[in-house]
Amino acid sequence: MPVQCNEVTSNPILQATNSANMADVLIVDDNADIRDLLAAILQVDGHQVREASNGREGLDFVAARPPDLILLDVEMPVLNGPEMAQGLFLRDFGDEKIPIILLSGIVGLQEVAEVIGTPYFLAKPYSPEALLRMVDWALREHIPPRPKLGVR
Amino acid sequence: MTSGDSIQIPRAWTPYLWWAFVTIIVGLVVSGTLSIYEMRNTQTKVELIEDRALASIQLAFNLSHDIDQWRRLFEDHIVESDSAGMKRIEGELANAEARMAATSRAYEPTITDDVERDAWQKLQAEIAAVQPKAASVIDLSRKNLDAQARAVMKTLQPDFDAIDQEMEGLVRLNRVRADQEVTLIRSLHRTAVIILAILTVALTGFVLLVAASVTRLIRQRESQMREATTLLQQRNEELDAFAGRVAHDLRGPLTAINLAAFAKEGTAEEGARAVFRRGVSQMETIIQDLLTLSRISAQTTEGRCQTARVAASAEEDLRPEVEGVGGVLRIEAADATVPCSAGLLRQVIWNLGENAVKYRRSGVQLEVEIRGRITKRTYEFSVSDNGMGMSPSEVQHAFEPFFRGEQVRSTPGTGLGLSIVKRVVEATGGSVSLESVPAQGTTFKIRLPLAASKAA
Repeated sequence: MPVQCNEVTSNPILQATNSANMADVLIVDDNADIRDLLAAILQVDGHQVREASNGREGLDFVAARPPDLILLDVEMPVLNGPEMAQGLFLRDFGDEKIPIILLSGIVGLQEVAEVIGTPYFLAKPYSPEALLRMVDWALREHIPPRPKLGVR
Repeated sequence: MTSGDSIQIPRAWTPYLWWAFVTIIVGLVVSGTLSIYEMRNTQTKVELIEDRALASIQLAFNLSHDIDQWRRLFEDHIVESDSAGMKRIEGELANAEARMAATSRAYEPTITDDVERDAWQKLQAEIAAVQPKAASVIDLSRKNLDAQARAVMKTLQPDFDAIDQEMEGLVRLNRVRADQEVTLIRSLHRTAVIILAILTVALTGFVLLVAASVTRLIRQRESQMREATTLLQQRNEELDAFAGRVAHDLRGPLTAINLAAFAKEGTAEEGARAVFRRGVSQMETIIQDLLTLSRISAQTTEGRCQTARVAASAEEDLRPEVEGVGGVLRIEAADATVPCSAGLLRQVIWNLGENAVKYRRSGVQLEVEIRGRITKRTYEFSVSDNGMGMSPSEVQHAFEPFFRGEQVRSTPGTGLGLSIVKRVVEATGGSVSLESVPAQGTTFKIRLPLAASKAA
């Protein structure tokens, strides 16, 4: 019994650390170079990675299997970052609970992050260390985005 | 600074306008004052004449009164038989004659015209004619020959009647003249009032007119200024947006380079080097395009070129590009001189040709056609392809710096090519337009002014 109890109590902790260390991350960016580099960096850190080249593809990937974290670019063809975030929120399949890290070189990134309602954003050009810190932080806190609807 | 629908007063006129305004007002005031002064002067003169006419009437009345008294004294003298009484009456007679003479002397200078002078002389003559007979009446009366004296007095009666008539005529003449002068004064007064009223109305009208035109001018200037301010604000916003775009587009490759440089052992060495190369060349292209864009206005204003030679030079570079993707290039350009540097015009054609290659449709053989022809006043280049085409909203923004169509964002490019084309063409005084049908193709038309003559 004590052994069983031990297993039961340790199990969630083990899972939590596991999910923090080994997460399913979706990268949405139209620049293939950046996508590949991000994937390489995250894989080295032990994460499982999928890549989408625009917001539409991103939504499809999320529908197929909800990831633990989304790395989202702002300006993309077909469906841009904020539009994809709003799409997730409006679909209301529980996908809106997935934390989003906004990655972009646009001027006024903070305002865009406020519109999407996410506390996680990184302005380009960023270092791999900063990115990994942000990924760890987002996976630990797990704050879901709160989009302001109708504002873009 | 042009506005077709309202009257445009040139800026240089403004000081003259004010001077003209001041001069005209001063002129009106001076002429008004002068006319009022002249009017008053005339009125004074007329009043003087009227005074004199009234004085004449007064004198005529006085004379008439004197003559009556004089006549009565004759009667008294005849009735009087006492010598002392006669002496007293003779004294009064002498006084009356002296008064008559004094009144006559006073009247003489008030005579204004010949009609009055004639009447006056006639009166004097009649008085003179009566005097000797009157003297004989006194003689007879002194000798107390009263009956004879009365008989002589009777013979004098018609003469006195004539004198009375003459007096009346004289008075009437003066009164008529005074009436005429009063009428004249009244009409002068009326004229003065009318002239003043007209002057006032004219002056007010003129001032209102000038005020209205000046107000309109100011309003026009204000609206022009507002337009200029709006344009400036718009330019500032565009510049801000432009700087933002430049920053964003440079940060993309910079991020890739940064990630590749810091990437851990997971990234292959070869892959990282390729990322460096791509990122650097992408940034280099953006910088090159930006520099081209900024240098355009300075370069184009100088220089002329032969369109056929430029087309041939562009063909040299384009043909391998087009044929490299299995496409067909048709190029045909009439020769003319246009006011644009050869290098920039070549860049324009190259940009459009390269776009045709970049944004071709997969599965369809690329066809690019470049034609140059001379129209009435312009030289027209058209560059057509059978590529992806653009949606109407994309066509609208196609020439904006850094704008990139939805479906071509994955294709490498800076988004500056078409804005370079537009700026080059517009700097030469030409224009550029485009027609596009999605999934069918795009045609660009560039119209350049023809250079004045080949010899120049």
